[in-house]
Amino acid sequence: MKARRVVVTGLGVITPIGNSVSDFADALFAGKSGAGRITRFDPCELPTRIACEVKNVSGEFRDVKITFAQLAARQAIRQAFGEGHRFSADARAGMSVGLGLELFSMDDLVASREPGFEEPPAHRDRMTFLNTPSDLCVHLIGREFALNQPPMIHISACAASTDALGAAFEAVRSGRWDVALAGGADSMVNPMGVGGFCRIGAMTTRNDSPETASRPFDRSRDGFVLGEGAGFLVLEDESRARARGAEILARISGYGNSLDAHSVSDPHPEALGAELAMRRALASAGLDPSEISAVNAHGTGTPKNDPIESLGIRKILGERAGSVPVNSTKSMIGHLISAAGAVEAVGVVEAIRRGRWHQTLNLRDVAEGCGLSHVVGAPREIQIKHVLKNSFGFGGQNACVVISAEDA
Amino acid sequence: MLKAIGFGHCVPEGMTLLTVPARRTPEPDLGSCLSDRKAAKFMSKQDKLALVAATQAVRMAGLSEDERRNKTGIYLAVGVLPFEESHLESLYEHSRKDGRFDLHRFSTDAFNAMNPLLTFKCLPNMPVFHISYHLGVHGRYYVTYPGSGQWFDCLRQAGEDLRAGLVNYAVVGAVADQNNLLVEHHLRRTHPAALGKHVDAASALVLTLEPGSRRVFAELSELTSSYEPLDPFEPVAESGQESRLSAEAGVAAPSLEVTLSLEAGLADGWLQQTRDDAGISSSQRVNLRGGSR
Repeated sequence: MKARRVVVTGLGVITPIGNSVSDFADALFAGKSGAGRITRFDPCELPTRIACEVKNVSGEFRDVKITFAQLAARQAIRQAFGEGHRFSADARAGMSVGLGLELFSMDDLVASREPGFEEPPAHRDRMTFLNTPSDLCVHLIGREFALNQPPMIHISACAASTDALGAAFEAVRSGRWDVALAGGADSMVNPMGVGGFCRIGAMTTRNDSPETASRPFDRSRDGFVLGEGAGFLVLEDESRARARGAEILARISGYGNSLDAHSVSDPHPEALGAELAMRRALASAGLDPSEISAVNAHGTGTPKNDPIESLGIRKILGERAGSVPVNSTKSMIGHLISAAGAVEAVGVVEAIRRGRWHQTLNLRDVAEGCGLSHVVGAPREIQIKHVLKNSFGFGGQNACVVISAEDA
Repeated sequence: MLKAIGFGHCVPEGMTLLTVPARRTPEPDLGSCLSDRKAAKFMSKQDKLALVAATQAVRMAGLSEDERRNKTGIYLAVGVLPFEESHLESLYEHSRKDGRFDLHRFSTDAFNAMNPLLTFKCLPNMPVFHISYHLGVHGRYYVTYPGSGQWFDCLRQAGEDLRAGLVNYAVVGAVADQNNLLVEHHLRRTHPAALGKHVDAASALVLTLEPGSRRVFAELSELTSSYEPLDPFEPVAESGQESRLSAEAGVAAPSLEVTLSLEAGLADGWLQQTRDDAGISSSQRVNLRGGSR
């Protein structure tokens, strides 16, 4: 049986630079940074006191990623199917999502040990006291849209939502699902999240210049800027989408993942895992590296990731590494951890549609080992057919998807 | 039909299908599981449990270095996030002021007292790293969370990857680190009856479609799953399901039912059925080939 083609018919995002797809994309192409001093809590003396926070979103949950996920999912479903859509029982509709760590509340821990303390009486409040299970949003969204397929929940750290997108692609391509809501949500902008990343020296300490702190591939980079948000894409079997007259935004055409098996924190020095993930994604898409138009890098701005990822991309593209445009969305929105891949994938779809590849903000002096055809200073006008989108996680979990133009 | 050519588990001493277990699982004996002893310092209890179970299964299956490296995937379900008590106590002591959490103390005293390894030990994807690192596995992978429905989803994903030829062998497991403050807190609000019966446990199977001359311990077939999402803010009704286990093994329970049956050398077949807290109902037929390891 010929494999089905998988198309994108809906997009939704909540990001540090825009809470709709159009605002987000406009800001990307304008080169806008979402970084600023942390406001979700007082970072006091922590070494890093900046982050890319979502603005103008308030929710009913202590764990903001639940609200981010709901809002982004609603946008994506609305674009694909219209307001108030619920799937019928005969549509095999499922959710594939990358999620971050459970929110752990130090306030609650201390309060719980005080004399006379009693846990909240309502079950609803107890479910968010001390720690909030990360999968709550999955089932809330599942109920809202009547999703009827067992969800795929990915927790592969920074690769999670690219894995979610890839797994959803495979579910639709194989015919197991007709429709997938694929994406991710995360926020680690809380004391434990920021403190933990600070403790391992993963984040920038350029607190005085937040907007220039995220510098992927630059010689002066000193770590990532933490971000938060959510992104979702609606994936469908192409024939089903066309039959109902849906607008086709792009296609997902390949997916691969791999394990470095090298280090808890450092990428494989020969970029073995990164290369494997990209090769597997290309094989899944049935494409030759020569057919790749652009690369949206993981591009964290950490000293360790960027040269190794560059090496992996050069191994894949060969001589074309000097001409295939590469960018890092994290230069503007920071590192959304488990939501990073999905939000960046939404940016890729918009880039394909607009025929422009956004710049890597704050890249002025390309670091040794990071030589690629970086887009700097302004967006590059380009006709895009196929894009490699990378996401690499702590613990050497690497994921890559191929995102293609509708007519590619 | 998926064929199990290796299995392993890490459970409380004396735990079999129907005996009452000791509450605590002894510290897993990593012994020969480590390819690099220095890496042990990065491992949480959850990481150790998962590695021991996976290593037993892979060794029983007799996978060569080349087979592990290029033809094996890891599919793992982990439970609700655990947190090591010692780290938690340190954070508590160093960030409390006048009976309240104090951000200034957190950003100074607690931050300086925080062990950098805490970050790596917290991450729920780390069991997959440790299995991949010590067994030399380069994937595919699927790591998911937090209920028993996700173990069945691992089985589903492994089966699809095997049938698609993306891997020839699949290490499919589950790990539940439950004797800690956070998981006990979660059980108290969702399954209070399980408290006191909860155990730390991990289980793993090595599955393949083409066992060749390798011994087959079990065949898994007829996997089905359905989903009717429950309201996560409503209390979970006790399912009343018959469990083959005497202990509460959380996300690892269905996997352990299989591996403990294999350990006991049972030769029967049964339809394994679960419905988890999220509304995922799963079933599969398990046919054991008889004989223990």
